[in-house]
Amino acid sequence: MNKQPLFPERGPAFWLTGLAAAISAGTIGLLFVSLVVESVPVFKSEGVSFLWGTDWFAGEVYGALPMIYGSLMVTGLAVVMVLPFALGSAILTSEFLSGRVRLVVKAAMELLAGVPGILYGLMGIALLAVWVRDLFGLIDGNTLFTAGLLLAVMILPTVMTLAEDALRAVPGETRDTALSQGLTRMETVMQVVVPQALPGLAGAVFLGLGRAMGETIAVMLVIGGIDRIPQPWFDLFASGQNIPSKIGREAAEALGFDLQWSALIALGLVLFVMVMTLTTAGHFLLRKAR
Amino acid sequence: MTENVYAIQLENVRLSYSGKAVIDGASCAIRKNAVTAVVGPSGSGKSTLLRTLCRMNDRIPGFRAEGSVRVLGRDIHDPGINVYELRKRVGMVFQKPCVFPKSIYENVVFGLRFHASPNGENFSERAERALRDAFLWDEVKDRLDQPAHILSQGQQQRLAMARTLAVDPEILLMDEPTSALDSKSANAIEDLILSLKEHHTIVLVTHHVEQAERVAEDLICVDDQTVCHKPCQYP
Repeated sequence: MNKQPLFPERGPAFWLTGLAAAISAGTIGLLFVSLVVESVPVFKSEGVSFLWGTDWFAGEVYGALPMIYGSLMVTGLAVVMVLPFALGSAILTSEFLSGRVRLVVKAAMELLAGVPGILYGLMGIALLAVWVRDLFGLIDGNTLFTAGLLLAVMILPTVMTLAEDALRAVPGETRDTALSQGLTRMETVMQVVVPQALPGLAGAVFLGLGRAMGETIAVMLVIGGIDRIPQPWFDLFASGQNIPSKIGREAAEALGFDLQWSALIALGLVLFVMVMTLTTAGHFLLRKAR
Repeated sequence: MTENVYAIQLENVRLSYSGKAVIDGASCAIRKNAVTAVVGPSGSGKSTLLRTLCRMNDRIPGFRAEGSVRVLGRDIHDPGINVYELRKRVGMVFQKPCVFPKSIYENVVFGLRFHASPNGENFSERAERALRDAFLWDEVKDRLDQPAHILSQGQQQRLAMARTLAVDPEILLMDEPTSALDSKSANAIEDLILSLKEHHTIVLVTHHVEQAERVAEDLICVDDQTVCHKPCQYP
């Protein structure tokens, strides 16, 4: 039998593109390895209590829980607030708008998804934080709630376009069949199309979550920047801290100061794992939907 | 008077997408409890014509139907027509068998779940009758709770028929129902069509002239925007 070689053609083009690919893939691998290696000192010094500890005083003790809490809280809040709007507008666009209008909406959403985070951050600190302060009678408008709300606005375009793609991936025959059985448009959408698009819709939300969790600059501006878990823990109108914001604030001063630096890298590792999990799950679900 | 003979009457019908006519000046009538085949070259508007009869083109942007389309005695473009009620009475089966990712049983009663009156009708009885009418009962009666997609294409198409029959339509529209199937499954569908015409008016779009000859009493040719009756030589 004639065995196919693993790499059929190994000319210069193969080696050149192969090198490019290897460098790209290697970068991610190297990033992960260096995150692990550099975070070893803090785990050696603090043990697992690095993850559970609630106090972070540079030079004394490093506990990441307030930041992990902040990240989860802010992201969770963002997803709760974004869901009805993203799904609603995705359904409208995919099921009820005509071709041309739909393309305009999609283009606008994809454009919005590319707006730099700092611009959202500026709007957040100039408008959103003030509104939250005045609306809820707070002393300081920079809270976990503000950060969650801002993130919801930021990930809305991403979640919406991906959710719309997921709905469009449901074949037209499915809609035709449901309609031909005498279902209304709304029944068809809610009882047939949305259930079939569910994996894709979940994927859209997960990818949005991944983006929200890693967003730094906009959150940094409006979250308040205090490393604590509020009392009671569900008080979202308190200032807090999430992982990217913490790293962003302290990286410059910690550079070269061993244990604090290692603690920040370890925070980065936690963030990396959380975001990768969400993103992988999101891609997996989206692929399953197609 | 003619309404007792004809289930569907078209008069000077023009169908167009964004102003471009697909069918223009069509007039024809379709007899009750008979099989009428609609034949014509690809892209001639057979499907468009068929889909118009239960207003399935409504959701296509730019589509327009003019002229009088009378189905079961009423103009279906009357503002007073309840289109969902119309689609219950005029069922449609599509080219590609489309089953929902549910059990076989749930697929059959899919439409019933939305229409049945709340006084607790017996779904399983109606499901059994529909499956028997679709010649599928013997093949699936022991595995009604299994997912529908395990069925073969031919079985899925008969399941789609059963699902349509379960809602108890008077008219059945079929858009090339055998074109995605192998010849054995296609034969089963043809037998099924013949058995259904006793209680249903059937309009069948097909591009197999032989198929039209085998199952249809009447023939409608669609070509070059026009529609004409042809007497069928093969009774």
